[in-house]
Amino acid sequence: MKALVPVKRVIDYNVKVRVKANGSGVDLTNTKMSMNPFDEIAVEEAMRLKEAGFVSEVVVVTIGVAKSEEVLRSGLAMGADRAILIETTDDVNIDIEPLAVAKLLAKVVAQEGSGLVLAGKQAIDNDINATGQMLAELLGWGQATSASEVVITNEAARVTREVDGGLQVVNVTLPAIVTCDLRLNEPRYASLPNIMKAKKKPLERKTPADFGVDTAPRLKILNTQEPATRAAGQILGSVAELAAKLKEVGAV
Amino acid sequence: MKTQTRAVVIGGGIAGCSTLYHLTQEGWTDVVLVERNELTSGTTWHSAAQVTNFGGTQTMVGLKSHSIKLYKELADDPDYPINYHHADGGIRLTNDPKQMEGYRHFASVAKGMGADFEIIDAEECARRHPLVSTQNLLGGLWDPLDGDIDPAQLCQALARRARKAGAEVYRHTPVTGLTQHKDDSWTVHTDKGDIDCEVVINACGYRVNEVGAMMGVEHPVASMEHQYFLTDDIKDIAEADHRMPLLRCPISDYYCRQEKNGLLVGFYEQDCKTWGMDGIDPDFVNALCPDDLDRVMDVLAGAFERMPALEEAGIRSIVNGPITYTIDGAPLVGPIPGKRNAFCIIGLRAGLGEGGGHGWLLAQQIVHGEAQYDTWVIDPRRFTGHATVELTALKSIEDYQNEFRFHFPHEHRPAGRNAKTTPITPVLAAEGAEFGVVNGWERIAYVKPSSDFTETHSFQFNETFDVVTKEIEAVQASVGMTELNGFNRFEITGTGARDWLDTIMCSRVPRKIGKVGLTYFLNHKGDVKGEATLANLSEDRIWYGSAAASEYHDMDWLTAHLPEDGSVKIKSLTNEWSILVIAGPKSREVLSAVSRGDWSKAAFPWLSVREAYIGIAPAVVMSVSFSGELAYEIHVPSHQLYAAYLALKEAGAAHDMKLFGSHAVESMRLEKGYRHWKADLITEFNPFESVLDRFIKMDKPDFIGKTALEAQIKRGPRRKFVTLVLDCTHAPAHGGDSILAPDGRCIGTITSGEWGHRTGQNIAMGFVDPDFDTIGQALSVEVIGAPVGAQVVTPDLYDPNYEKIRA
Repeated sequence: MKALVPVKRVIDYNVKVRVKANGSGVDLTNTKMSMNPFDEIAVEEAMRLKEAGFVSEVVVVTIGVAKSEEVLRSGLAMGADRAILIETTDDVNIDIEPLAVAKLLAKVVAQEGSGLVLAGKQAIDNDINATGQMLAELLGWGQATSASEVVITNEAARVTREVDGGLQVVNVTLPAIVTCDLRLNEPRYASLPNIMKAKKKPLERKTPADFGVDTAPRLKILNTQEPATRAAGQILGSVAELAAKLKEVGAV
Repeated sequence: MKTQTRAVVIGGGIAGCSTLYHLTQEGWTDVVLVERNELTSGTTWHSAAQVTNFGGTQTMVGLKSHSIKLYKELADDPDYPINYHHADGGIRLTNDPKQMEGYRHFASVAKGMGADFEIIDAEECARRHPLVSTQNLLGGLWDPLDGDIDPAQLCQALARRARKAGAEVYRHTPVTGLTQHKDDSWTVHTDKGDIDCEVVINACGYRVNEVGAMMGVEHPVASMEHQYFLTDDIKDIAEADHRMPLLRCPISDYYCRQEKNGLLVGFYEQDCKTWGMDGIDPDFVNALCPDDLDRVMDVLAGAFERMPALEEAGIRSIVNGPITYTIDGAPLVGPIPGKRNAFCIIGLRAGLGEGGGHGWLLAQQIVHGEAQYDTWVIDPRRFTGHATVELTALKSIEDYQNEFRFHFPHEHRPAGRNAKTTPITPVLAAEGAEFGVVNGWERIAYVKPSSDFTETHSFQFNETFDVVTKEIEAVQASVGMTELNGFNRFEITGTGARDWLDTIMCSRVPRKIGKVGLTYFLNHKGDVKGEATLANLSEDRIWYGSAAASEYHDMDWLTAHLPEDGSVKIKSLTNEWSILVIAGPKSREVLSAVSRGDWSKAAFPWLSVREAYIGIAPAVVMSVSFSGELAYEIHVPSHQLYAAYLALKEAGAAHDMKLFGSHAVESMRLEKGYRHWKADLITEFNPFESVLDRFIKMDKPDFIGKTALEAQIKRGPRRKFVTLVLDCTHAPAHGGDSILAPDGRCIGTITSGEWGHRTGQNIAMGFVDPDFDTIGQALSVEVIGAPVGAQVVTPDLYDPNYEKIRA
């Protein structure tokens, strides 16, 4: 069974996000970019399934600007066998929307004959959490989202999901889509020799036109703004003062 | 927010926080720090934060010792402890015997400052750092106090102590402009209001030139992208019973230290990159550059070879951020050239390790006028007009590429050459001249005996030894010529000029027209600040000559003390004129052949000056000598320098005149006991300690530093200047080498050393404990780290009666 892992290049989670002065979006010039952390978890899970013998080949795919090749190389450095780069745009500010991504992925799944798609549950840049679900619908496959444990048995995947107040276990028949949550695994760090080897692994370059998919955005961003800055705190001298203060602001 | 304070420090990284803290410790508590964002949001934020004691000069070692002591004290403070891995130890590796000699020299330099380095072999390196392979390894230098510190905690701890002492810190307060007033005080404009102050300090890291521009200054600082990565846990480290020492490896240009149970590994790749040359995004705050491992591939193979465990380790994260660099690798800490009451602490490429010490020495300069060490190696005025950001970028790239490869003696690297030249630089090059760089000036070092001659840079004598012997033989036997370009030259005019100079100089200022005198000046503490040759051209026109690097330094000092009535004026002629020196017994004949007039001993004795023509070129001729031979300094305007050169060359042909260079000059001046400014003349000692007694006129009514000097005399000398002859022939002593008493105690430091080719002696100069300055005293000097017998001698080893100079 071949596994397909879609990955996305996003602003690094360590970097302070800067909103452009004109509110048109986030400033990405000269900013550190990395693989979406949930996608790293998906790559790790795919690698573990391959090491356990359930998966024969791991293919990573991304959709975005040419520089997205970097995140594919990160996936390859973690151990993926091949990569596909679908170059959609030259403009880093254009975020390809989930439906377009899902349509492209559906075509890739068909081309590759994948039996399992392991994806991050959502990207940390737009937090939409929709691609996996849309892809399931387009393919007519079963889906298990927000996985915290994946066990492959014969023709199905038993997936544990963390839901409010507990765990839910679902069985999905393969082929299926599984989206990965934070506690599924701890992704490995690639070693330097593997990072270097990754540079030589096969990477196929495509465009949306090759798949006949229109990636034009359907959403229009009206405004982007930073969260309100936190007001300065106050150091109080005693518990009594604290109690008075809490009363004063109506907190007790 | 205050609207009035003594000093405003701009920038809240390690440089600013350390300066603010030390200002309060030196006595200025009404001080303010303004930061455009949060403390520690620039380079300090992503620093690898290593704290080493290693330095190339005693000042650098001393200021790093201060950092270590201070950080230890902060880390041990129970009220606000900070994470400081103190004394993990560190090794600078090498596979090159010549570099190993350098380490031995630097260990001796550090010894004089109380830092105890050790030279260890390859097996010992591997014993102390179990991950190190001994393949292709000779050994290294062990620094027992090496360690690393948490940058943010350190800055907070310094700011916290500064606040406790009375300082105020305003975060999120960007400076929008600077205004200097007639009385030299400043107003710092911020987006929260104005602050009036006596002194401003630029501590702005990579934004140095944004604030520099607000006062019309371009600081020679450039930023380089630098990458390091953090590895996942490494089993051998997790299981070791000690922390891993730090490693710095010039064999494959990387460093590493322990971080948690893994390593932090940084690279100095050849394919490196400047950053922010065309402006910096205002929002680049707590920000990193995109990582680019491709650039460091050239270094990786060597790092794996040295440390096989690295190959297996997972890479947890990669950090790529800008670090500031300067022309010579050392930061700029001190007064901003051409400005009053403005200081900087910028270009710190190892800011965390050094920052504690730099802030300390800067605060001393601001509060007391001078630091306790001679700070010339970090003085912003050491670079003059050539120090543009473009030159800085070229030198920064070169410096980055050679991060752990120190300069050997006389080594001048190829980047940014020809920054300052004269019309005859290419002419001398065509004659086979090899050049050295003095404050940007290309100055002839020696003449290559053949076009394919190459020199092996070393702490030992090298292939140039015989070349220099021959140059000196030619000077001594007949006559030689050299160009002394870049020599600093001011024209001081006004009817009161001489009387005014008399208040500056502690020496006798020559009164007679046509006379030349060597003079010294002191700072307010009574220590030696500078040396100048004064030449009386006319009643109200004096030429002031001093060392090539001293232009901004001396101009700063002199203009600060000019009479307020404008009766004395100073103009720099440094770049407009150059000097041709002819030296040797036949030099008078060469001069007479190209210049009309009576150049006889009677008409133009030693220490005279006269305006004349050299062929068709106007010139100022002085009968002064740095070589100890009969000699003339011929000052010529640059546009006619070539004409003068041709005339002298033609006249010299009759006497088989040869070119000589600065190496020959260095040898000859040591034989005469002549000093070099900022080598043998440093602001740590007074003129009596420096044994300049015959130049000091204590009977003058007053001069700057006189009162302090009188107090110093009562206290007695701290050190005494001596000339030494060494009992070895393989290498000269180098500045910073330790001088040992017969019982092995370190009792002094070498300031200069070179072979005396005319006297056949290995000569050195230095400062020693006053108990050991008697002529004939037996001592030893650590030459390349090994003690060599030495004897204190009288300084005039060559022609002690001045018969040759006065001939």
